[in-house]
Amino acid sequence: MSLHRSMRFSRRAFLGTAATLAAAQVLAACASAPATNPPATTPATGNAQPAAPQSAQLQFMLLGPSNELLDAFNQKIIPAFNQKQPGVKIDLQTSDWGSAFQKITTAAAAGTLPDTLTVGGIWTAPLAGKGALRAIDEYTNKWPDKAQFYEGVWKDAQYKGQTYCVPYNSDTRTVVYRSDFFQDAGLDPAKPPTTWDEYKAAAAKLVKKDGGQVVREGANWGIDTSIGLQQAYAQILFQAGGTYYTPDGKPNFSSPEGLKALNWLVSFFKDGLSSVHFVNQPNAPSSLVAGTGAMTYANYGVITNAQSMNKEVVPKLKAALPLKMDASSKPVTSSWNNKYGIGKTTKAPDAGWAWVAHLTSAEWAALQLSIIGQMPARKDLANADFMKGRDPVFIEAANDVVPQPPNPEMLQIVQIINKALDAAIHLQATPEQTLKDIDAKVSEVINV
Amino acid sequence: MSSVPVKRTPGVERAVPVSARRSNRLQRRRILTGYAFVAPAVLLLLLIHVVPIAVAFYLSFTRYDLLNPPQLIGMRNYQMLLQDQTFLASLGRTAYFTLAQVPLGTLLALLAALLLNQRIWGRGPLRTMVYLPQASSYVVVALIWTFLYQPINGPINIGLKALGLSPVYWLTDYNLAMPSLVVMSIWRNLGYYMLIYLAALQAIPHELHEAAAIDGATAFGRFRYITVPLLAPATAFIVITWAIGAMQMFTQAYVMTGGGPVDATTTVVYRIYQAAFLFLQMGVASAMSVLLFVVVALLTLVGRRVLMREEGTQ
Amino acid sequence: MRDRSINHLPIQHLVPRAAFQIGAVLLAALYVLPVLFVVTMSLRPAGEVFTRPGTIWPDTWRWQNYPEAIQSASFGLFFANSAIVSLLATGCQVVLSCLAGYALARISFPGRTLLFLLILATLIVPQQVTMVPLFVMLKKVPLAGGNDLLGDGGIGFLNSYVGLLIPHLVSPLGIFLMRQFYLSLPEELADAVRIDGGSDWTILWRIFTPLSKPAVMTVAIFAFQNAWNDFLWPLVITKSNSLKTLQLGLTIFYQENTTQWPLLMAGIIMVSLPILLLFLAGQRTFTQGIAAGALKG
Repeated sequence: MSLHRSMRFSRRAFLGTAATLAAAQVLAACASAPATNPPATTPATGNAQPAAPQSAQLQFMLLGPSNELLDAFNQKIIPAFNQKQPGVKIDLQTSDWGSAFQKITTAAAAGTLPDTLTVGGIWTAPLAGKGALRAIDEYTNKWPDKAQFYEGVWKDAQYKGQTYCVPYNSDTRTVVYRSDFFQDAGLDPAKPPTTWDEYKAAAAKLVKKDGGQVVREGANWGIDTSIGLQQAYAQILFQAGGTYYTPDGKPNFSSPEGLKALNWLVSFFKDGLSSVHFVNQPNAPSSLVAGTGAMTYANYGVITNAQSMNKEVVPKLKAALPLKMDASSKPVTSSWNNKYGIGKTTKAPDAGWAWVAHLTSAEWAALQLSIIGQMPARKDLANADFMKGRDPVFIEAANDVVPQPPNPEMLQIVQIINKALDAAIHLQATPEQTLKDIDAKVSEVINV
Repeated sequence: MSSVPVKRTPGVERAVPVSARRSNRLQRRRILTGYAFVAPAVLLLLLIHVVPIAVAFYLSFTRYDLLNPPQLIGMRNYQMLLQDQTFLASLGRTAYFTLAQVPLGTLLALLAALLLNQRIWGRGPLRTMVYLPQASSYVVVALIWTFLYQPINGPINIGLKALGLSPVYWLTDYNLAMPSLVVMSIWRNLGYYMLIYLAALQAIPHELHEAAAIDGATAFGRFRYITVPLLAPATAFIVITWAIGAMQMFTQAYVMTGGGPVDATTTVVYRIYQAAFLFLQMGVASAMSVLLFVVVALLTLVGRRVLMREEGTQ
Repeated sequence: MRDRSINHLPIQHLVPRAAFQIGAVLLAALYVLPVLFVVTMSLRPAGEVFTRPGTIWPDTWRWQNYPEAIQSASFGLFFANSAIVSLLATGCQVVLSCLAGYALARISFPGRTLLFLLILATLIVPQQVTMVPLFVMLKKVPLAGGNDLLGDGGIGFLNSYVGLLIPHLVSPLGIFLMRQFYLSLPEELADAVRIDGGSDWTILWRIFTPLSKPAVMTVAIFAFQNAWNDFLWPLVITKSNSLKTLQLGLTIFYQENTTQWPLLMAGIIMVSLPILLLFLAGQRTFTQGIAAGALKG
């Protein structure tokens, strides 16, 4: 009898102890994950192409691979690398874009970040600022290829004066329109709008309504289930001469320039030239491809999208250089570029750099870009074979890029801006309120 | 005699004519058996759920960006959240989603189960059809419904247009977006809960109805006084688990609306996801989970008390 | 044995049979149309998916989508991984759910209510916040995956079958469901066994569980489909391609700017088939009713 009782107690005690122990383990791990990582090895001699880095197993996280891209890596890119670096074995890991950030941050929490990885558009500062990426200036400073990158695109890989990754594409936004809709509306497809006034006037002619409802937007603003609206606004903010932050680092959205930009954006919705009901879905044809919009700001992806979703539209899609606010101002655009970087915890930074340099070299970047259908980050690829038949405007636009100001809280800031803008175009808040709201919320985030 | 079983409180032994000592020993043995039966499941639950939950609870008092060690900051996350209008609003929307979905869904699941328990033509294939959405992940179902709901090229609006009606902005109208997600969610979940009702209907002893019929009970009377009470444990299960599932709505908003338009479909777990994996604020995300837990636990207790009154336990 | 489930419901006297049939057809229509849409999309050529909105039948039927989908997603390997994890998870969950559900329903032991509430409580916390602690925990398992005694140095159970399987071994839902079903069975059934000196073990496996076949089947189907359809956990826990599951394999069909809808739909249909087959196999238990005479002990 007493035996039974003691057994019961001991079981309970055991369960409790097990739970406590396990919890302590996890807490210790959470607390020590970065600390237990070996310190970065001493900076390498800085050879641009390290002759023979230590033999190493190099994990590489490739995001958004298609079968074609995987084949290119396995059959061409990795074998070519191994000819130069026979000692380095590439361990290719993959994830789709949608869940990539979650996979990477979870791995980082346990100190198991891959040695090298794809770094998405605005991830540089958030990952670098929290110490997940390794600065690579020691390598890039001696890398002759560096001069080949578009300046605005290269800057996008920097944070606080240090370089953290190397861009492989330039996702530069510019004006894209449907030439057939232009003709139908009596506009000349050879003379696309270049200023805000022209753009809005064209939208007014291009919009199509049925019983008061917009069935084709004059101008589509890239509203999506992610942060498309924020990305569109970023460009018109810069075109108006506005900035995200004041020189002393305070949010500056409610500046007169910011207001001018937002007023202009909201006027499309007030005047019925654009509609809040046309939301781009990542897996569906984009607005111009589906024929529910006549003009938009887009990257070359819109062509890729048309090629896979509706080939007949491809010849009707035309691109024009980025807008300027008025005849006297400069055209400005933004770009969100994907890059390759090196994880902070890697034990083989030399090999990691050799791999990143290999991936972003003219030859192998060209192969990847030809498969994924995107524009190069390197000027020397502007006339490469795979660019034949692609509208050069998409790459010329890269000269007008103003980089997004890097901030470690960027992922949160863009959500704040996107959400506030969404309220503004739904006419739930005035542009003035919206921008004040953004300033207040952003300053909360960057001061915490 | 049609031995209609009288329901008794389980676990309480019938007085067996044996000595008190023996009964005592048997009772102790049964208690040990009980612990032995639950032990493997409980041990695994501890490791898989309880310890991570305990850690999350601890993290709710910290600032933790996943990449650097957590720092204790006391109640700061909670203070911030309880003053955060958008967080409180997301709690409200979560409740709205749940209340709109669960009672209606449970009723429909019961009706579907009763219907597909009848001798009707094509019963097997029909059950399979209703169950089919369960065979795919929620992400896939959400992807398909996004397409069905499209304003211009979506099949639903094309159908409406063919009937001479104007298009409905299912996912982009501020007031319609959440109801549209409710409809889609009931569509997806119905098969599973119907299955549980079907299983429960199978467990009702045929003899009960026979006996009641002999005693002259009407059909409705038998449904109300035999079927419904005997379905009570299943109903309790369905309402509680469906509600808990609905309180964690995330995939639909993530795939179909991105939490919009404006904030119309931003639920608590959507915010938890954003905080944890976009903004790298695991501490805030954990605090939101704790607050969600408190709300759901309170509601579950209240709901359970109400639901189990008929169940005859506790 | 005749199909007894059909006649015993009194509600059939309330509404004429024709109304049932009409209701059933309406219900079916709500489900047939979206499914038909998926099926036909899986048979279209790539370019045709969005160019002819509102049409259901493809212009050209492209059956090659299926073999192509199989080839492009390494289906064989991923299928084996999904099958191993899902089958083990199902077996383990069913046994544990029956055991724990029975104890919670039929055996009165101190702390029972508390334990039951605790199990319910674990359902309430979203995976988004427990995922990271569990992940770190599995990385720190001592002596696993190159770890030392303190759980450092290696990757523990990350990137392993054990890691893939662990969260699916037990389900609070399954325990809860079995408890509810065991709760509704009459105690007389157990008494007969007990008088003969039978233990709870006998009552559980010989009497109660056979009577709860539909519920057991429900737990099994649900365990299987949860493991089979899981995306987030395999995503974070696996690194090597050789450990990936079917759900991860499907992502190969959607890229930035392009989604191969026909292949994706063909893939989705094929990935759903095992669950469908399991359901069809389990269907029988939902039409048999309780074996005649079982209650006349």
